[in-house]
Amino acid sequence: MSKALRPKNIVIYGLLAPGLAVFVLCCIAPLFVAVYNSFFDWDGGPVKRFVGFQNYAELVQDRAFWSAFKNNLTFIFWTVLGQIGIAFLIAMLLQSRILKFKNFHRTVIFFPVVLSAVVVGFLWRIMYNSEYGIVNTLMRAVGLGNFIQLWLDNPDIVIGSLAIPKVWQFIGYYLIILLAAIQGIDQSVLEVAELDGATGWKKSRYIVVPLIKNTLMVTIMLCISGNMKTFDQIFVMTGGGPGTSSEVVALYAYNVSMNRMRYGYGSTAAIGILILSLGLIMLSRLAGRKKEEE
Amino acid sequence: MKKAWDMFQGVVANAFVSLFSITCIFPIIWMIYSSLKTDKEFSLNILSLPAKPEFGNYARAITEGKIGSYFVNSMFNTLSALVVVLVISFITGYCISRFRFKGRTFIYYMFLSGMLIPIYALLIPIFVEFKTLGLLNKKFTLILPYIAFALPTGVFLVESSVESVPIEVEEAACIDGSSFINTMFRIVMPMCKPVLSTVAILTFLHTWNEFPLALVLIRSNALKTMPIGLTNFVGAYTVNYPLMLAALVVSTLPVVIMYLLFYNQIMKGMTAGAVKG
Amino acid sequence: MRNKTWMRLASLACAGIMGVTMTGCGQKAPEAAGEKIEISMLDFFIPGEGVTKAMKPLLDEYLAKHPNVTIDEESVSNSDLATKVQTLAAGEELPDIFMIKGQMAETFVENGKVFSLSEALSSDSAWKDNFKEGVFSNFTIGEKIYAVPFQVTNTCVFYNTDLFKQAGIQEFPGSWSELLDIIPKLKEIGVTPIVLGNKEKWNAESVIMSTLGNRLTGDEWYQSIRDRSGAKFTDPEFVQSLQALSDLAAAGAFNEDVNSIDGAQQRQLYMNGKAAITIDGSWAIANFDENCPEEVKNVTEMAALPMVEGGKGNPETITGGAGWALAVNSKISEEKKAVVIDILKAMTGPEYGTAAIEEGTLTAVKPGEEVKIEKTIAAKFDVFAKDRPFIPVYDHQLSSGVIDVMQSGLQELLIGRVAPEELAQRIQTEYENNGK
Repeated sequence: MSKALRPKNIVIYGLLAPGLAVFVLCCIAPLFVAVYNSFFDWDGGPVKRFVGFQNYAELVQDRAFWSAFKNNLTFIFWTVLGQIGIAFLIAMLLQSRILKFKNFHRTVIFFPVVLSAVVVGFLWRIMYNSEYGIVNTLMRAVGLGNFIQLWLDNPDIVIGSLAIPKVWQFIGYYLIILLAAIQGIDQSVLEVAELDGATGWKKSRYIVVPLIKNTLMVTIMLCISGNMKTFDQIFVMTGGGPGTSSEVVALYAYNVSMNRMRYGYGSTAAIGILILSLGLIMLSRLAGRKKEEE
Repeated sequence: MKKAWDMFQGVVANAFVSLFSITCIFPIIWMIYSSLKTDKEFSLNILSLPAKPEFGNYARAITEGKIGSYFVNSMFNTLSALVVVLVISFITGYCISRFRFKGRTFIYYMFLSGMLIPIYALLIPIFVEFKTLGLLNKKFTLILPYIAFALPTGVFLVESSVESVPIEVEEAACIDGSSFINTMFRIVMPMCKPVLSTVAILTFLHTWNEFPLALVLIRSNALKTMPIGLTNFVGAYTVNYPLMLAALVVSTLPVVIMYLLFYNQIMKGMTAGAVKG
Repeated sequence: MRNKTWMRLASLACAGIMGVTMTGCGQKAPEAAGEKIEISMLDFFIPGEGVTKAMKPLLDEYLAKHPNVTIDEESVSNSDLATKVQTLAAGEELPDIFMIKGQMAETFVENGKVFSLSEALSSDSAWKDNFKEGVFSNFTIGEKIYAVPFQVTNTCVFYNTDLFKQAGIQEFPGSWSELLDIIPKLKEIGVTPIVLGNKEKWNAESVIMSTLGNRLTGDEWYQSIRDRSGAKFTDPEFVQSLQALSDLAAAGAFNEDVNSIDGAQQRQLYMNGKAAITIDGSWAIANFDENCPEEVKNVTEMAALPMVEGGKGNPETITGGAGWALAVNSKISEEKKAVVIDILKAMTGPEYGTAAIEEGTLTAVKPGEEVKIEKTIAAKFDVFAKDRPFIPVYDHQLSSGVIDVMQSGLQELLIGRVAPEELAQRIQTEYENNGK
């Protein structure tokens, strides 16, 4: 960028200062305190016992934590595919000629996002109900009765069952982000591409995707972050059960802190979540960069 | 043959999206008509329409549940935070995207870390910090963390979209004698309307529904927010669902309205493309 | 001259007497001095709850009688109270009066957060004796009482005598094996033998396990666990109790979706006549009376969980305990102490007992006057529970780590995913590692 355009450093820092101040005060400072706490054994009382890296050693060996992390990974897999995938699909369809009632769709698809976890959890628990739930009723109606499962009771499939409401609820969230990005694409580029014969899927893959690459990366980042922190829906629908089969890391950290009153170890778990999330995001960036090089 | 294939694609696409849209709108419709039932009616059949719509629940929610006051407080917190978040996200996202300066990467990762930590881990640290600074239980207490927690998403979204704003526009403005600040706000910002609308909607959504900090940092009834007020409708062992849903409808409405106000900004350019079709 | 001396002596005497009176009754609230006292309180008396309707008038009455006292009350919903109290405790911002759960008691006492109420209680026997037996046990740590309860919950079996007759069962089983025998009979008439909604994990532990455990282990074992004097969860008596539950589940006694439906849905299924037996808590009684159809209400009876052969417990007992109770901040100032005790007495006196029964909630306090219970199920329960000895609920007293492992494990036990011995071992490991 031309030298003339770039303001002095002091201007830049000055502009950033207020935002950074608030952020450091309310987020980073507490984060440092949490890191500090993670090296202690503390139950809320006056005694904070320094334990060095013991908590971290315990975390690394904590089967419950890693099993919860595995559940998070499953979520991330399905939601990146489902939420972002379907959102992108719908975004493209909304741009195309094929879809009717566009206004209705783009108004309504966001609605699930505003629903509280309580409502979503309640409704989906009803839908999954073995006796009167819609899911099983429909399956029986189309003759798939033999494949009926105890959706939320079977520890082996409960995470899969929970992924569906999660994907469903937030498609609209990613849809508006993607739409806003697609807005930014110069219309003439798309028109030229179409004239050249790139329509439909070809247009999406080769034209649109590269142009909204940045937003896609941010979207994936938001998705990973959101899924590592996921709490409310699971809490309402299964509370992590049956047993601990649907526990996720945020729920685990919450249990350790709030139920077992081990605030030190709870902080350790939270820092662990932070580190793992950062790791996953780095991985996704690497993967994204590799694709670009192809 | 191509025409048939196209038609088939069209039918499938429309069916798929329509089905999806219907599932999206159903819960809200369900919430509304269920809130018009009596508790007994609801427990007998969860999905049925009410025999006779009862608005009593809304009256009860407002008088007994006092959601009027919670509503106002949430509005105050959310709108205040929203305005600040929009301005700061834009400035920060813009600077990070356009300029290279010392500390840029550090700041980026700082925002990223803030976004990745589960809030419950920060509850006690924030509580102790605010207590030490004498910031507990004030009118503006919650606005500060609400701004802070909405910034990462806002900053990242703006940052990723500023890239696509052609720099020639800024350079032209500079040549025309426009100051940096002027260019940023008068020229670039309007071009970022779609992403800023998205940030507005998402910030409103997250802030309006925030719970743990509101629970812990506020103690006066006069300052409590909507999500806290909603818990009053969840009894210790039983829940009067229609009543709770009435309160939820009132709580959900502003977010929906916020979305409807702004989504046009996101979709604006679409009509331009659709004319061709 | 003489008059003056007499006057002086008289006034000295008066001052002396006043002085003695004031210091002698040292605990008397300084209302005489007209000082303004503000007491802060954190509770779960949110509007609409039965317990609030019983408690609020008593607080208002106290405030009317003591105009120099104001109560700055914050009421939070029951499900969020624990988070709030614990955060305040960690941040050292606890109010003067607050509520604690049985599970928190030991930690809070250890950390010096709560003030011992033993003295206040023993100095007012009318107050202390008006509490039902055993209600202090959750909050008695090391011989001192640290909180006063006002609410108790019990659990027991509710069963539909009509469905029993249809299945050819004459009376409620007296032993565990008899219970296992009637399961197939109930299944034959197409009802769920025992409906249980364990989505919230604590249900099975609270309504079944606490009692079933005691049937086999008896009180001594439990006390030893609590005192850490040698009992283990891997002891045969406890493992047998897990086995008994496992057997019941294996016999198909419970509904298939036992871990995904909640208490409300459980009640619904019983009230719709689709289940013959429901094991539930006294918190359900008000709900039963309000929403249960007459046909089912009238044929519902109560029973204690059957005895298991060879067990050391008393077959008559049911669980009873106070989940939450009122505690006082250990940092309470001297002037406020007396006022706070007074407020606690107002909240947990016989008037509360009466009011609570009228509101349909169970009280830890005996009522001042005989209250006639009108509602069907509440009346039946009152008769059933009268003079019955109570045993504690596990999650009111044992450490949260142990309870967490137990509750999660029970979810698995009910669907046959974990063996009783393994679950016992898991609980024991947590118990040993925890140190609390």
